[in-house]
Amino acid sequence: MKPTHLHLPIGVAVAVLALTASACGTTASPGSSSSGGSGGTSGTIKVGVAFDKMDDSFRVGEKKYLDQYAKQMGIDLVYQDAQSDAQKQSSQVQSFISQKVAGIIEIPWDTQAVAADISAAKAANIPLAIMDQQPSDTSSVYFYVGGDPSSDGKMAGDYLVKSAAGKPIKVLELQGSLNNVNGIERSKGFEDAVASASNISIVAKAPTDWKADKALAATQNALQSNPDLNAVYAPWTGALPGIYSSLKAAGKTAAVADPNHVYTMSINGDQIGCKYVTSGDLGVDVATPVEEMAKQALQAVKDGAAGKAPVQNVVELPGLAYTPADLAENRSKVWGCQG
Amino acid sequence: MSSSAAVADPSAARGDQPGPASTRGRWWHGARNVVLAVPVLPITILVYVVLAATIPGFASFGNVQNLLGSLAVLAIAAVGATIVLLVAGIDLSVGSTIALASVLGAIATRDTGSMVVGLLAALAAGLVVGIINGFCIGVFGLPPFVLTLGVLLAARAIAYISAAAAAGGGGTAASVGQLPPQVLTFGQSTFAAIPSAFWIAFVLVAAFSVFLSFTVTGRSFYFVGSNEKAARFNGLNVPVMKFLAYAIAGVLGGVAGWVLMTRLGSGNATAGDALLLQVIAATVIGGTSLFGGQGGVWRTLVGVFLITGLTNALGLIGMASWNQEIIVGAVVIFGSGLAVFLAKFQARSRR
Repeated sequence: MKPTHLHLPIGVAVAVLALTASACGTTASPGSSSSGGSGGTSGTIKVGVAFDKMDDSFRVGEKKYLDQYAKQMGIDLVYQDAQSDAQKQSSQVQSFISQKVAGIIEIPWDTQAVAADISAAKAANIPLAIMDQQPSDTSSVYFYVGGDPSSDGKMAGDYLVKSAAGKPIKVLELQGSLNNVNGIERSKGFEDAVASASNISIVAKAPTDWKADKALAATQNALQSNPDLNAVYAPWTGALPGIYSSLKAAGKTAAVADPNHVYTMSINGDQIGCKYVTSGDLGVDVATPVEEMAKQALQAVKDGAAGKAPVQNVVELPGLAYTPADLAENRSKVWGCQG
Repeated sequence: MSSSAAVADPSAARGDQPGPASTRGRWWHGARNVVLAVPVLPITILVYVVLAATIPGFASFGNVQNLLGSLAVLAIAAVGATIVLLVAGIDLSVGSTIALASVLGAIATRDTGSMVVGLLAALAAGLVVGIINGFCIGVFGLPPFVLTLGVLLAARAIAYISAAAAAGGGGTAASVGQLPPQVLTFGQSTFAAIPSAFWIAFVLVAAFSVFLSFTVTGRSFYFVGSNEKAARFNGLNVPVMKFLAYAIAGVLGGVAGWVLMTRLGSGNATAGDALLLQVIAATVIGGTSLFGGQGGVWRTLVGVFLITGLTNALGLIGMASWNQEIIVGAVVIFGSGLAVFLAKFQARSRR
């Protein structure tokens, strides 16, 4: 008698066949019409983009500018999302290499494991530009462009020192994820900047893995244990909605001039940051130059495909700190405030 | 039926055995045995042929190498999952075991500079998890789903804590790096043009296939899974068999974690979150029953090939990952719907 548990696998396999046949009959997605290889439509080159994750407003901004400048430079982009899995990302990069793309741009999930991708791309003679997350070892990287997290954190800290002007401050420091340079340096930069100010003390510190729900929980806990908390530092703007809802629930929504005002500082420069700076809630937002990052990464792979090496291997672009006071003049330079 | 008729046609009485002199018959008999052992194989081969013909780059040498290397970790873990499923159990902790083993293996390799020590550390981590699972489920009789879920959370937490401690800065760290270069060299190496990682998986599948089919202990797993009471009455030590199944799965999780470490050149505490469902999907799609007693490791390997081949091919045509998951999900739903239909159809035609 035929075992019934085999119907599932057989059914699945038949379904795979059917779906594959129909999927290949129609054009599945933008990348599929061109055959594999470095040539796309005439004159354009094909570049693979390996994102570590896509569920983040910053990544959305990076994709927008990559698309914009790629079109101008005559580059066809194929995106892959590793969904926060290092092995998946490695496999996706290998896939790009075996398709012999003209170049690869990668935002690495695992800044240690990216070394494998760097050496594999080098062996295959394909220019690999790393973006946004600095590899732990940049000695053999072809090109890296990212923000300058240390100076971004310092700018946020300097703002707090200046605005506090001697007033006693108890600050909650939220940290990103401490397994990459952005998280570590944004935290350290902030701490170094406020270390010299004796009126400012960090009463709570919480790592959040760049996750908004963890930021919300950490803010609520900090407000519980420190009812006179009057400053919150969030190293990315995704945490802000949760922070403001916690502050509102605790009744701490006093305006700037009020002695009970809670100072908030953040980094990213995306739509969320721009919105809160415009409304006056957010004291300072440090805009990371995403546009410039995307442009430089694309330029590096385009040059690499043509055989030119980049002038500088490691580029750290400083951010721009903007506040409600200088919003009018800085608005055009902040990527999150455009469109 | 007159007796003369029965005697006159002994080959009919013997049933389907082909005549010994017919080599073509013997070939057919052999092929039939293979298909009975791994029913999904012919269709998987057909799927691969279709993919190779329609998707540019799928059959290229580089892509095949990439595919074989990337399915190794899944295959090794799935062998362990198969054995656990055979005894009608379930091991949800496999992903976290892999993460823990890769982190501890990486720490050991980094600190001693020796890959062998790293392997031993990874195996030890997997063994400890397997023993805990086996003891609690086999000896104390705790429900497998709940127990392995708890172990999943604990093992993952320990992996994170170890990685953070190894990074030395406090806080959370997700990967352990700075391993000696020979780790990555091994992980990316090939033997006879096939990635070493795949050879390890293949050898393990072959070894466990022999174990499960040709040893008394191995065959007892099937017995325990299909009818636990009968197995007990037949004198099998069911608690020990279950303990053994989970312990083996734990050790294999350790091997998979070590292989992952060599593939990535770092120990990764976040690994394995998505792996658990892939392991179960591959094992079940291959033809191992969720209720125990039926299945095998070759079936699981073919299931792994089917899933990995599909996602690899979809990635090659530039399909975004979330669209890939819609396709895979649709395939499983459609497939199981078809399966129910087939079962009903067969039941009706049998009447």
